[in-house]
Amino acid sequence: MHLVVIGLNHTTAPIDVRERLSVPESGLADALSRLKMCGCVTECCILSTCNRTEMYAVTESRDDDAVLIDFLSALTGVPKADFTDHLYTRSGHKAVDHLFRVSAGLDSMMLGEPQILGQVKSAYCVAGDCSCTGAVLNNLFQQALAVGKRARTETDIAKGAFSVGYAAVELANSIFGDLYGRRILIVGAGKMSENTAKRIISNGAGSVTVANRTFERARKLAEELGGVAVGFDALDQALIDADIVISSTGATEPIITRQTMAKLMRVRHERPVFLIDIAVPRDIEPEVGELDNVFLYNIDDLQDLVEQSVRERQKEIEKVELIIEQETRKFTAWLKTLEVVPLIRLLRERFDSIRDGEWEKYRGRLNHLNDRDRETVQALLQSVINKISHHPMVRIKDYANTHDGYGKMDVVRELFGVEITEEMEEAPEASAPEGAEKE
Amino acid sequence: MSSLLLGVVLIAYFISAVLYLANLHVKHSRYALFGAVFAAAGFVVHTVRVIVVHAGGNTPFSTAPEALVLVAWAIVLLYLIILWRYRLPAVGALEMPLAVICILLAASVAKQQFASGVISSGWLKVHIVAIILSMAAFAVAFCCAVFYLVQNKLLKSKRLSGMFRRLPPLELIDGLAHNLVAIAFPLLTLGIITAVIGVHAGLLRTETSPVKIAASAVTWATYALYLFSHGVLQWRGRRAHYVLIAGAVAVAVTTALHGFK
Repeated sequence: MHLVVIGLNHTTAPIDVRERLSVPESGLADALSRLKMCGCVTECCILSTCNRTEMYAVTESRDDDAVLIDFLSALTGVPKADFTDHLYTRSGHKAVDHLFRVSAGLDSMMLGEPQILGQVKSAYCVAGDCSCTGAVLNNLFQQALAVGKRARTETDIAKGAFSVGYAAVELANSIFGDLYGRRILIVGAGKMSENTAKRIISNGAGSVTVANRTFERARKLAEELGGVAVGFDALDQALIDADIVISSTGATEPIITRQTMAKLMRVRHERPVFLIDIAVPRDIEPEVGELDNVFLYNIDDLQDLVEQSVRERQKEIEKVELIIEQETRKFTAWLKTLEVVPLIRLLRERFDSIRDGEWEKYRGRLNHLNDRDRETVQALLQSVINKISHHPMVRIKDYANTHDGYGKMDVVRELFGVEITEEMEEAPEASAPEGAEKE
Repeated sequence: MSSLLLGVVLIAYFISAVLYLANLHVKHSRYALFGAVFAAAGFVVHTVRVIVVHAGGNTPFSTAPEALVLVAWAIVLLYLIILWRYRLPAVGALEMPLAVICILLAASVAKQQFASGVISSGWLKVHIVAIILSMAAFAVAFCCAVFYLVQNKLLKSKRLSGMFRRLPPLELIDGLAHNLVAIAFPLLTLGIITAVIGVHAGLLRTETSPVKIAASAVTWATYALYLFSHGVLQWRGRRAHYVLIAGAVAVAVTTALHGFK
């Protein structure tokens, strides 16, 4: 029995390798079913995002790692030699720690980003739907999701801006409170402004107006965003109406000058306006930002904000690692109860405590017996326990060598009511087979 | 009894104020929560005290210090309402210290009676209650204005770390300040009208001086200007909040002239 993760991510592999090894969502269920058919794999789950492809599996032994790598090569059609150098293999508690780090966002390219939690969840759901998960992976992934949530609620690892769009939303929130019903004006129908606008719209903003030099492109983007298109001649009126302006035209000269904006602000009754200039060269004169109630941010400002959030989130890493350590310890303690030697020990302890308990209970009524007879009764008790436990113990030792041992151990654990003890929680190191790392 | 209760109230408000101030500087803490707990607990004791004083036969606002204590009570009441309605704990960082200052001031000024003992007069009661409530609301509006200006400054200078994230959004705080003045201004007007009619009809026996009248008029005019520019002219932004701060200064001066010698 062997819990392992084999995979690669943005730190170990360049984008072209990651691209070739990624498993499309549509092919995931099929891939998992094929992996399960390998024979040595009891449970498996594949997590494939743009930054990582990872296979989580419960197999018979460490020797099966090669089977997993062969499978990945066969599945994606990439020769092994092309990617083995980029692979990492972690097993036992290191595999647990790895998944917890992934779901908490510590392993993401953008520290603490929220999408990964959803990706872990959907990977788990797909595996669950094709019956590829069992006792171990079910528990592992549910724990991982819980860890991801804990990290995000108990620390600030997921606070702040992850991209220019996020930064814009955060600023807009600080100005307007919420974005409901706010009017957005997009000046210049570029890709960048589209992304930023989408982020703001998804946070609840109201109407959208697109102004572009070529009306046709304005119309196309407006249609996509569910807004209206206007020509550049109507820009002034649009600026008067808007609360948030996103500008990214290819113009070489500023299209919004201090003079125009000052005039428009008077018409606006000084109603605050948030100007986002993501064009290079800039579309809005920097002096516009000096006007009262005008909040002008250019691409560098927003980029700074993103970097600053990253720095702040980095300070939270330690706290998240503490949570992960705690949860990994708990999980490995549970996993340990599924290992043969500890399970047998736990079972023995359980039987012994039953024996002692019953002896204590009835001893009083056996006072009329002499010492020899009492010893006989005790021997009798021990003998019954030995007889009952003999067969299960032998079978459990056999389970260690079968690939679905973890699942069967879990059943044994459940049948005999063997629980995790404090002492086990404290010693995670000894519990797990040492994780092999190869990077 | 009442001074003991007031001591308890003062300590609770003080702890709450410290917690709220710390909350502005410390990231991800429970200070705001505990601040609210102390504010609410202090408010309950404060309310009990108001009832005790009233039951003891004294109108709770018969003297200048008592009136100030009542202003503090109204400030905390408004704060708790704001916390409940707007979820803006940051405002507590100014409001709670303000409540503490009111109580400390009350303890340090002489216990002179208002208007030579005719507090039983209905006119005077209406006058004083209206003025006390409007003062509390203006005080809270002042806090909002300060937060607005600070947040505005941070946004303009693009210093967006630390305190920035814990301060309330501009539009929200702007709306809140306006709502407070919209409530307080009619109360102030009522207070002034009752005073004018009271003095002329001989219902109130109090000294009037041109300075006092001028100060009241300036206060009234300042807030009238604010409401007019905000509501009728639809002006928004920094300047409106400077007007609010000027109004608060006028309130402080008028209060000093009226209540204390």
